[in-house]
Amino acid sequence: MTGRADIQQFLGLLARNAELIEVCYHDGAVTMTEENAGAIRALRNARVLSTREEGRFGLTRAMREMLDENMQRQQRFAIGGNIGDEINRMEKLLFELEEAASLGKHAEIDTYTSDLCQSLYDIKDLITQDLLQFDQIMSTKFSDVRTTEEKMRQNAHYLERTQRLQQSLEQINRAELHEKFADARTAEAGRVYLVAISRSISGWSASLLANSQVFEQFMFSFRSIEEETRRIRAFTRFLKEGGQSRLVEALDKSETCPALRRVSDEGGELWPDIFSDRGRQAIGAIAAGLKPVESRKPDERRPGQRSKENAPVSIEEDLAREDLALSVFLSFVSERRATWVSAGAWAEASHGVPRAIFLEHVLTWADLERDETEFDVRYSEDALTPRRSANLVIGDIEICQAA
Amino acid sequence: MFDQAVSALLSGAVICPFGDRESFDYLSREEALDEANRFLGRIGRRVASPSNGGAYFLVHTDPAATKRADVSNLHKKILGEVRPVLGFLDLCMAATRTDVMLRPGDQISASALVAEIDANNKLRSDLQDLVALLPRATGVTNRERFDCVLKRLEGWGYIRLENAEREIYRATGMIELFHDLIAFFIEHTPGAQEFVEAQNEQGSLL
Repeated sequence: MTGRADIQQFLGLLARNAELIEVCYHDGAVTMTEENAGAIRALRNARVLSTREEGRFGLTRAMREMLDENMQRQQRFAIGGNIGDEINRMEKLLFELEEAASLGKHAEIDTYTSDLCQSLYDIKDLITQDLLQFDQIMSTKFSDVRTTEEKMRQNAHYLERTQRLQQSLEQINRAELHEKFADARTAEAGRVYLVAISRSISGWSASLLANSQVFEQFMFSFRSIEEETRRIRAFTRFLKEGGQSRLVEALDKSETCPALRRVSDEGGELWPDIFSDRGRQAIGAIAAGLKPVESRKPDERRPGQRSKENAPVSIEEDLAREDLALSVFLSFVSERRATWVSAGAWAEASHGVPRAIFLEHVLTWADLERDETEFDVRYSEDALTPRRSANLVIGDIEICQAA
Repeated sequence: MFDQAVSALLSGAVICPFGDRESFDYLSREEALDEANRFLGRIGRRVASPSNGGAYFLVHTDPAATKRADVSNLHKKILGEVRPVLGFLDLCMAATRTDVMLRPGDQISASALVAEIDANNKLRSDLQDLVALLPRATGVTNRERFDCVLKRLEGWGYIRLENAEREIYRATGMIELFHDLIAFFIEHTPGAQEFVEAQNEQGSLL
């Protein structure tokens, strides 16, 4: 059937036998009787019906698929067109077109361009048809299939198909193919590639990803998996759907869960080992490299304090405790006039400064500043000083106000 | 053996046969466990195990005596780990096409998993989602992203590198603790139990 008259004749045949075709579509097959024998023979010659066993006839595959698509009837384990084969055909046509263009065979260029464009549109239709089929399956969720096991098997089939379709999309979206279609020799086909394929790829990929995710979820629902796995997967979904923020509320009851009371690290506090030479040397080496701490002198004016011109500046003296004790001691000596006062005994009685430190301070003061003061100083030797020792150990210092 | 096991417990380690076989075998003996508990009891600690056994870790005997800051830090750490670890467990199951959760002692072949992830669009997308959950994690290729995930889980103690040349990791006893944590969160997080039951119900109705 190539002419227009033949197509009209074919459509007329279908219209005349519409009732018989409808019965055949819904019942799967019709039996030849005396009344319908002529119609069946005509339909069989037109490849609408094919022979089954014992005088029964069913619709041919092409006819059935066309009606399925028209009626949006869901097939079980439905298969799409062979997109992979169509893509391979398209690539062969593209190669031939390039060859014809490079050899300047103009007649063949037109033929191959026409075939290539048709092939690209076919690929687009096949992909769209597959995606439509997946959408349809997702909306019905295998409602006409009774057992979970069968649903599971069908779902696995569609999951595999989505993966195959994904591979086909990757194949048709190769950079190499884009370059070939961008070539001037394939101008018309390049335009069709851009319109029919390139612009749709991202939409197809997104739709396919969504479909495969839904099929994965169906898989999750259908499989007879371990109870714990099922619970954990459901809990993961709970967290994804906003449950993460509510986990904190569960921690109020953390006493009941040992894993939440775990000792995470007990070795937190570290003490330097000052008892071994190695430890001391290491600490010394670290300390030697440290910058000395600079003591900060109190500022004359605190931040935020108002300054006054010609105002008297008061500077607080930073007196050490020993200096303070020495000045108190010297006042005490001045009050006693001509009496000798023991610095050691005074230090022990005053509890302010350790005796040894105070004596050392008095000794320094006596050596450096005594000439300028009105005090007399005498030293008493420590009884424990060895007899033949070259150095004397001072046991006490006594001070008296000079006459 | 006593000091090795107790020192490991005090340092916060989870002792399992896949991380410290000797200490685990030692603590598996009843008298050794009693001895460790007597010693640790004096400092307010005791040895605990996950509900399915298979590991030992240290807990405070008296929860009230625990420093608030320590508990808070542990809880923060755990909350940060829940989703990434769940994501990793799910990714492993999807890549190996199994419904059985990862258990202590299970082998993880990094190269095999990356090959599966490379070949599957959905897994690639899942891996990207997983990396996004990890703070300061990055990676341009799937390999880099997956390595990043493995390193993080190794740092948290859930897996340990067993064979660097063949890129084989092994799940540790921490996974067992994690399952206990999830059971706890499902039971005590408001709305979680209902959601999980509804999901299971929906699955059986489909």
